[in-house]
Amino acid sequence: MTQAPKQPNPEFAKKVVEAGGKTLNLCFQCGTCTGSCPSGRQTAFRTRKLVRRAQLGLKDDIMNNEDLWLCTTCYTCYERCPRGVEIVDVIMALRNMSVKEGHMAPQHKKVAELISKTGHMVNLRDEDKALRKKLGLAEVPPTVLEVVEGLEQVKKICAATGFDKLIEGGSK
Amino acid sequence: MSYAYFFGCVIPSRYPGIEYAVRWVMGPEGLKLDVSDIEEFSCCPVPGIFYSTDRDTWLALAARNLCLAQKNKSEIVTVCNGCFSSLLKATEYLSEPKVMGQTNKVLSKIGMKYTGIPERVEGSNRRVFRPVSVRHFVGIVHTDETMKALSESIKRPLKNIKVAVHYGCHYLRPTENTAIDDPNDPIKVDDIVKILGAESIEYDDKLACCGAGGGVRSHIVELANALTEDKFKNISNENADVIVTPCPFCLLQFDTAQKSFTKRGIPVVHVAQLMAIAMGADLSKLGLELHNVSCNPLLAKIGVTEVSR
Ligand code: SF4
Ligand code: SF4
Repeated sequence: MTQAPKQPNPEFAKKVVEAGGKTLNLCFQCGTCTGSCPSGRQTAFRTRKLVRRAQLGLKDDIMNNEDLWLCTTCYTCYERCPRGVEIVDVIMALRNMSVKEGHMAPQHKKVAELISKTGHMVNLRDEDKALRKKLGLAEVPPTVLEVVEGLEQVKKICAATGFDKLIEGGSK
Repeated sequence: MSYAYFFGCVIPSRYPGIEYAVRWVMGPEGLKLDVSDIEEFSCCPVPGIFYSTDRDTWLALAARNLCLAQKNKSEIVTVCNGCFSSLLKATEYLSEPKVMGQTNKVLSKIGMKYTGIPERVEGSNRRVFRPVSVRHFVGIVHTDETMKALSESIKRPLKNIKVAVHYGCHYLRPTENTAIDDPNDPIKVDDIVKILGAESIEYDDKLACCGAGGGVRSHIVELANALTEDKFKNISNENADVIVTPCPFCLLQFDTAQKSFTKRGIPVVHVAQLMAIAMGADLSKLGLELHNVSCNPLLAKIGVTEVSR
């Protein structure tokens, strides 16, 4: 018995377009993107397929699928696409939607939390401070790491957009 | 128009020697450019993970950084391809009135508003708003005047040094908003390297990705490292003495990935560090001993003393 064909979901496809994938429907499936993709050389990730699935709105195939997170955002496909599909923006729209559904790698969550709590993606350890001092730099960089009011602003923004809740795993 | 340093996250906390090098190279002992610090910048925020997670928050935080430069009427000097691309892309999004409005609604919570920098139109009372200018360190150094000053300030010419330049994706692409160099045949970092007296070697797939971007490095480091290995093979085939990049994130990737596939590492430095070496900066201030792959063979070949590790 052959498998029943997957059901397209135009509603979902429309949402991708609205979320930033406005050029999605220009794709005519030439495969130039797949041929350009460094990640595709190492893995089974196929850019063209992902774009096709998004066009058809095959939500289940996209959302909880590792493929979505194999793109390094090198923009090679984006530059080469003969139809001007802004592929990276399509992928980002899909990633945003996937995160809203609660799919977020623990490592990404950690970095996102660090930014919303400290304003920076890399922590400043005591040894880093000591080293900065040795080089004659300010021990703490003159950023929100030092200026408390600035950090408060970052936190307010993350609260206002619902980011804190989002990375806790719920939707905004 | 004055410049404002934007060092981001990787440089100040992990490779502070790059910060020292940039400040020294641009400052009074170096190229004497008018650059200062604006306090309170945050993470750009990092495009790979943050834009991937939530575009609206990414944009609001980037806009906050842009507002600080707007207030100061400064051009932002980025030293990292990620910061460069993130802030530049944000200015592009913010040029759409609807997006600017939505973002400003968020910014109103902290009493800020992004408009761009007002400028009077000559011969009239009209004002126009120019987007905050986001520049890359390489673009600022690579002007006729500054390159001339650079060539006159070389104290330690890098004779016989073979450099493999790695530009990094977000220096080159997407072209509609970067365009600070020829995306298919970039020359600016190569030009700088040559002025320092070194040779910039050709190698296959020079414009390919290091593998770290898009959140791949933090999530699936094996994939990132496999992509680095591809590039590394091409570089090592040409017997490079050093890999030079204008991006600390690519640097971090090359510097940490090498131990996973080779015992014969090639040192990796930021273009500002290489400039500082050639221009005669105090080597003990460049943080070279922090790099995972030892920079000592490079320093020995240049003919200067090693740095202790
Ligand atoms: S290169 Fe463009 S048109 Fe061709 S398959 Fe990819 S997205 Fe579609
Ligand atoms: S931007 Fe992403 S999908 Fe496109 S070629 Fe690069 S890694 Fe592949």
